[in-house]
Amino acid sequence: MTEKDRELPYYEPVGNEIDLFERAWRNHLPLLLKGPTGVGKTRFVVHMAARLGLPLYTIACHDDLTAADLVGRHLIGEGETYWNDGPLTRAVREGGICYLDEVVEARKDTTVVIHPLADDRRMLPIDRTGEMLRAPDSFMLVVSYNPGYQNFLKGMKPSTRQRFVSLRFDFPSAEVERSILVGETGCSEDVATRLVDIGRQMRVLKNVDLEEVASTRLLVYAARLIHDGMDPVEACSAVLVEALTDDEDVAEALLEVIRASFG
Amino acid sequence: MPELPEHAVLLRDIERTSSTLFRALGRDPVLRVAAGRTDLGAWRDEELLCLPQWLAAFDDASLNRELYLWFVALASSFEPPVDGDWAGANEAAITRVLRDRPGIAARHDRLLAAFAGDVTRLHLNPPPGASAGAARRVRLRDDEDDDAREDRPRRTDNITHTVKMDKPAAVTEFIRVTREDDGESDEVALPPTTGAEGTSAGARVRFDVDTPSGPHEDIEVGVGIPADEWDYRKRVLLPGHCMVQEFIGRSAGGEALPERLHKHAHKLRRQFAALVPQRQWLRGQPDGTEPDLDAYVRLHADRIAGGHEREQNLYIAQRNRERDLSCMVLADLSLSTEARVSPAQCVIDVIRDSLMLFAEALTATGDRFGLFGFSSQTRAQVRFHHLKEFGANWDDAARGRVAGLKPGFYTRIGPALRHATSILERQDTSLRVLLVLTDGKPHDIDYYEERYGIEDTRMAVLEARRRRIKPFCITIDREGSSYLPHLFGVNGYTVLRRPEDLTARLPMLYAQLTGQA
Repeated sequence: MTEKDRELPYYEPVGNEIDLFERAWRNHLPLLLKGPTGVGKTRFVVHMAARLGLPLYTIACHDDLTAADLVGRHLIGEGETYWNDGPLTRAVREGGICYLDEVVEARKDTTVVIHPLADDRRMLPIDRTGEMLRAPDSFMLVVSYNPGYQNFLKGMKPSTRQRFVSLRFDFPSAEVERSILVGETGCSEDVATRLVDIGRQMRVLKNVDLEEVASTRLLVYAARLIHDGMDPVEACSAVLVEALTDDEDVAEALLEVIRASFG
Repeated sequence: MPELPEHAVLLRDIERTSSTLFRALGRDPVLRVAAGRTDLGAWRDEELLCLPQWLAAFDDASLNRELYLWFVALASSFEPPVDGDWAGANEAAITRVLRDRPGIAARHDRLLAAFAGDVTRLHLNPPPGASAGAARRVRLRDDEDDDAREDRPRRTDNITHTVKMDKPAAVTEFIRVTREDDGESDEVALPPTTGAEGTSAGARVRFDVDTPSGPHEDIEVGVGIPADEWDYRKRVLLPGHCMVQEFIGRSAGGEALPERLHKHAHKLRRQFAALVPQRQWLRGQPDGTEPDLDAYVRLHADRIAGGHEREQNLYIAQRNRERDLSCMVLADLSLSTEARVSPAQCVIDVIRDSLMLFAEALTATGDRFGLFGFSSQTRAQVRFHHLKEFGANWDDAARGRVAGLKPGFYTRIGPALRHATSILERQDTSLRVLLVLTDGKPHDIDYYEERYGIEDTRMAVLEARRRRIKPFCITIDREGSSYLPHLFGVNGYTVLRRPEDLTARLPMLYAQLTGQA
C-alpha cells in the first residue's frame, strides 16, 4: 500500500471499475454508473476523484433542478447584477469531475445542457453571458441512476444515455460485502457475516414486500452501531427495519429475520 | 367458527408477517403462506406453507404466536422428503434451523418444554392427500364444522397414513369440497390442479362455465398477433406461444352517458380538472432562474425613498409541471365478472360504469387514454377488445362499445398484459400507466392456473416495468392480498373491499399514480 492509497476514502473494488474509470477519464469519455441505491456508486466517484487528484462537484438531481442551477445565474448585488457560476461551470473551469447523482430525477430540459459536454465537442455554452467554455483535458462528466427505482416513469432520454460509457453496479457478493463491513467499521467477522446474511434475506423481498431493499450502506450503518456496543437486534431494527418499511406486519417479519440471526 | 378461547391466535392477524418472513428466510419470493384447516396442523409442499387458521395449543397467546413463527422458520429450511420419511425430514430441518439461525434456538427450547419434550408437535405435516394439487383444494373451505382440535398426528414414520386412519372424515371432506368447488362459481376457486394434471376434474368444471359472450357482436380484426408466455418450470419465455385476437366492439349505434351517471361524472370531471397543471412564471421569489427587475426597481425606489427594508424576493421562477402521460385501462371481461356484487349489480356492471366515469374524468385532464378489455379461451385465443383507442375521441360510439360489454371466457392475464404493453409503448409520453381492473386470479382452462398463471403474469408485469410502463392493478378479489404483492409489488395494487367503491376511489388513485397527489 503506497502512501497515497492510505489517504484515499475506503473503497472495495468488485471488478474492473477502477481501470474502466481511469481509461474513460484519459480518453475524455463521460461515464454513466447505474445500480441500486447504497451499493457504493457515490463512494466510488469520491474515491476516484481523490485517486486522480481532481476536484469533485456533486449535484443531487431532483425535479426542480433547472439548467440555471447547473450552469449559473445572475444574482443581484448592490446596484448591479453579477454572474455566479453553477457547479457544472465550476467543474469545467477547474478541470474537475462533475457528478450528477440520480440524473433521471432531473427534468429533461435540464439534462440537455450536458449534451455538448458529453460528446467530443466538450463545450459548455453559457447563453446568458455569451461565453463558450471548452473543457480542459482533466474534466470528466459522471452521471448515475438507479434503474430499479420506482420512479422509472421518467427514464433517461436515449440521446443522453448513448453519450456515456456505462458501468453497472450491483449488490456485492457476500464475501466482498463482508469485507466492506469489516473494512468500514472494524466490526467482527461474525457480526459482518450475520449482517450480510440478513441483508441477503431482505433482498429477496424486493418488489414483493419491499420497495427498496437493504443496501450495503445500511448494513454499514448497522455494523457501526453494533461495533459501538449497541444491541444488535435494536441496531438492526433502527437501521434496517424502520428504513425499509412503514408496514407494521412487514416490519414484524423483518424483525423476526433479525432475531433469527442474532437471537 | 366455534367460539375461540381467549389465548387463541388467529392466522389472519399474523398472516402478512408470516408470509414475508417465510419468503425472507427461504430466500424465494414465490413461497406463500396459506390458511388451512385447524385439524390438519401445519403442512407444506414445494411452494406453500399451510398454517391452521388459528392456534390454541397453549393457554398462552404469546406461545401460540411463537408456534406459528416456529413453523414458518422450520418450513423455510425444510425440504419435503422424496422417500416419504417426514419424521427424518423434520429432524434434518430442525437441525439446520438451529445451526443457521441461532436466534431461533431459544424459541425452539421454549416450545419444546411447553410440549413436554414431544418434538413431533413441532413437526410439519405432509400435504394432505396424494397430490399437491388435491391438497390445495382444502384451503378453499373454512372448517366451521371442525372443532378446536389442535392435536397433530402422533409420532409415526408415516404421518400420511396416520392422517387417513385417524380422520376418515377429513378425507371425505376433500371429496365433498372438490364437488362443491365444481358447482360453485369459479371466480374465487383456485384451479385445483396444475401442469400435466390440467385435464382432470378442475378442467372439466371450467367447460361448464364456458358460455360464449356472443362474438357476433364484436368485429374480429386481423389474423391474430402472437404473444409470449413465461413457463416458470422451464424458466423460459415461450415466444409466440399465445395468439391474441383483437376485437373492435360493435357500438350499438352510439350512446350518450347514462342518465344515472351524470351527477357522478360531473363531480369526477371537476376533481380531475384540478389535476391539470399550470405552467407559470412566479414573480418575487427568493430564488429563481432570472432576476425580477420589477421587484428590484421597487426595492431600489423604496430604499431611495427611505422606506422599510423589505424582503429581498428578487427573482423569477418558473413552475413547470408538464403533464406528459398516457393511461391505458385494461378491464377483465372474463365470465367471472358476471358474479353479483349486490342484488342489483354484477362485477361487469361496476366495470362498465367505472370505464364510463373514468373516461369522462380523463377527458377533463386532457391526458391521453385508451380503454381496452380482455378475456381468453386457451392460449389459442386471447381476446383483446378495443373500446377506445388512444388517438380516438371519447364519443358516443365509444360509449356504446363500453355499454355493450358482455362477460365471457377466462382470465389469461399475462399475454393480455404483454399485448397492452406493446400498445402503450407506442404512446410517446414520459409516463405510461397501465391500469388493470380485475376480479380475480389469472386462470384459463388449459394449464394456465395456479402458480403457472401467477408466474406468467408476474413476468408480464416485470416486462412492462422494464419498458418503463407503470402497471397498477385494481382488484375486487378479497383473497387478492395473498398473491397480488407477488404479481404487482407492494405498491402496485389495491384491493377494493366493496366494488361499488371503485368509482369513488378512482380520482385519488389516479392522482397518486400520476404523481399529483
